[in-house]
Amino acid sequence: MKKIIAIISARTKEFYRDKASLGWNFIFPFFIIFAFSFIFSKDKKDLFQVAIIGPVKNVSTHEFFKLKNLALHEMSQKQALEKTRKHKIDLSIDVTDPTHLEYWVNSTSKNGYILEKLLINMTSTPVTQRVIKEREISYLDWVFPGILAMNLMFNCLWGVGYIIVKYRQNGFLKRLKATPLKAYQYLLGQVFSRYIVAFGVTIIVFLGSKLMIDFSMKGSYFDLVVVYTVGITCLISFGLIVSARTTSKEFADGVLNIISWPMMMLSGVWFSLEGAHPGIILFSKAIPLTHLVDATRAIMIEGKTLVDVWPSVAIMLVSSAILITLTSILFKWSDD
Amino acid sequence: MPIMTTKSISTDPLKDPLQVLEIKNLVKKYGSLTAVNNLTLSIPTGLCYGLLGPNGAGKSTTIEIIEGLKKPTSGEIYYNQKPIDKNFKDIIGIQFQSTSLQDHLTVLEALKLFESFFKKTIPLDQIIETCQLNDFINQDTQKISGGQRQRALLAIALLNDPEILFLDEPTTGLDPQSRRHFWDLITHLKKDKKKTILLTTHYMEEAYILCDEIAIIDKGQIIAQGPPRKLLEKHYSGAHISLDKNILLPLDFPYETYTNYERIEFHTDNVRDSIKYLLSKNIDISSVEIKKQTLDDLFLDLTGKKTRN
Repeated sequence: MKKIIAIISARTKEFYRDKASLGWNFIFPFFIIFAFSFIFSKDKKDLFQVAIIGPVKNVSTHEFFKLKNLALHEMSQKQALEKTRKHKIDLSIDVTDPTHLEYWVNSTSKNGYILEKLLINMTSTPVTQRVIKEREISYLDWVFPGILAMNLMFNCLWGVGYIIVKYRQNGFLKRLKATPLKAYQYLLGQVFSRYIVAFGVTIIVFLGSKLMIDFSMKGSYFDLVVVYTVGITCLISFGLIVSARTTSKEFADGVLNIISWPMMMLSGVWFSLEGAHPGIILFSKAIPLTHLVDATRAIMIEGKTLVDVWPSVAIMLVSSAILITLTSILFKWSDD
Repeated sequence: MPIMTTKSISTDPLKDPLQVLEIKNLVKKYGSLTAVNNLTLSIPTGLCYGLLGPNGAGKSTTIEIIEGLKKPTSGEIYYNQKPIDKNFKDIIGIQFQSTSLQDHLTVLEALKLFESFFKKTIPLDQIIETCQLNDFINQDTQKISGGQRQRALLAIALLNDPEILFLDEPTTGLDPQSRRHFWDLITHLKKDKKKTILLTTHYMEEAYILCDEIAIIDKGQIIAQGPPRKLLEKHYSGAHISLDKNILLPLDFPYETYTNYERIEFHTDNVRDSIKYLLSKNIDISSVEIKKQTLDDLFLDLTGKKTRN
């Protein structure tokens, strides 16, 4: 245990004394988050979105629907209420009975408020109000868990994979091999040190962002910590497998880029893959980062629990187990 | 020049007669290349033993097999008459020619890191004093000089109070002052701390000063072995005498001469007679230089003068 603690301590000191790496790990996620917060601070929608429940021909009897800048969407009541809840629709109106209108408005929607006032003032037909209270999910809410996950990915892949290869290439691992230190003790030291660094960075970025910008956190912090622990383990295990035998930093850098870029683009960090080619979606589901992003997003935005996100957690755990087992078989101190 | 091939060394009877480290019939092959070819040697307790050889001779491979860093193709290694096992790493200290340490650690932190790997260590204060690290103990390991770095690496090698110390070209790249400072440290470890030392080096002067015994290795085999002074006595007699090249020698000059750079040289078995001869012929001896053969000469004679890859 003394040996593992010594490795953890040395590696953690190395991280926080390396100013360039430290700056990159903290400044990069903040920069991305604030850039998105600025870009999406203005409402970009030009039209009011109205859901029509019932026969669309019935709308012609009401003056309200003749207003300009209204986009009318015919859909079922269930779809309409779900979209109103998620602020995809500003007002849902049931027009099944021409003599009586029933509408649903999200009390936190500014557009919904305006449309509701217009509807009441412009129609002589009796109306029934139904209120939904659900905060709007902004792009920032949606992208924030993705950015945290992406930062963890870079942190774990390079912080473990690249660093071990660097020390193999410059002979430090060979020097360690000449001591009674066992390979598993060294690797455990690297892994636990990376937990400290990854959690430290994530907590600081999370709390710093919470202080300055408003983003959604509906679920349990405990559940979030559990999912991050599993996710960090999975991402570290990718770093470990890359480092198991690689002897060139340049090669390791290339492999880590090959792993990280598809993860970044196809795991739903930046945009939803809804509607993408089924092959892409299937590939996306095979990427551990997708599961970390999906699970943390579900907890933070929708308030889901560990029970709801267990498939993602299970996939990350299985991936970790396979990769760590392979690393333990393949790992070599040096290329001799 | 006859090549002496020996399979055992003459040990000093004052030393412990127990052969502390014995390597028997060591072979290491990389595909069709045989790096170490049936090498056998014994290193008695308390000696500084030098492994010399040109690049690619097999000395680093040999030392790394003994250290447990490489597996031999065949052969046996015994320590105190027992085959070495996993606990061997607890009783040896190693200094590579160039070891990188973990970035962003001070010398003291690097020492503490390595200290944690051993069950039994000697107090850090003692090591710091022995290796004279006080002046830079709190400096980043990346920001110390070459000489300081080698002393820090030696300190790491000594942390577990090793019975055997492996030094693989420890002074390569050091300036003359740093090298001599390092030699003083090694001499202290040998004489006062009674360490058994296995040293590889390219510096023959270093081997001559530090080593009680040397083995010259070429193509994976020992081609000469013994105490440096005795080896020189065995292979060489007399000395080389050189004169300014503008001096005219008589036609019946009794020695075979050759030109070496700007000098005329000849070999003699009896320096006194040769000088007498020169004086008798009224030859100006103000430019005479007398040079005894060194380990450098022996090394080149035994291993050849062609550059090795």
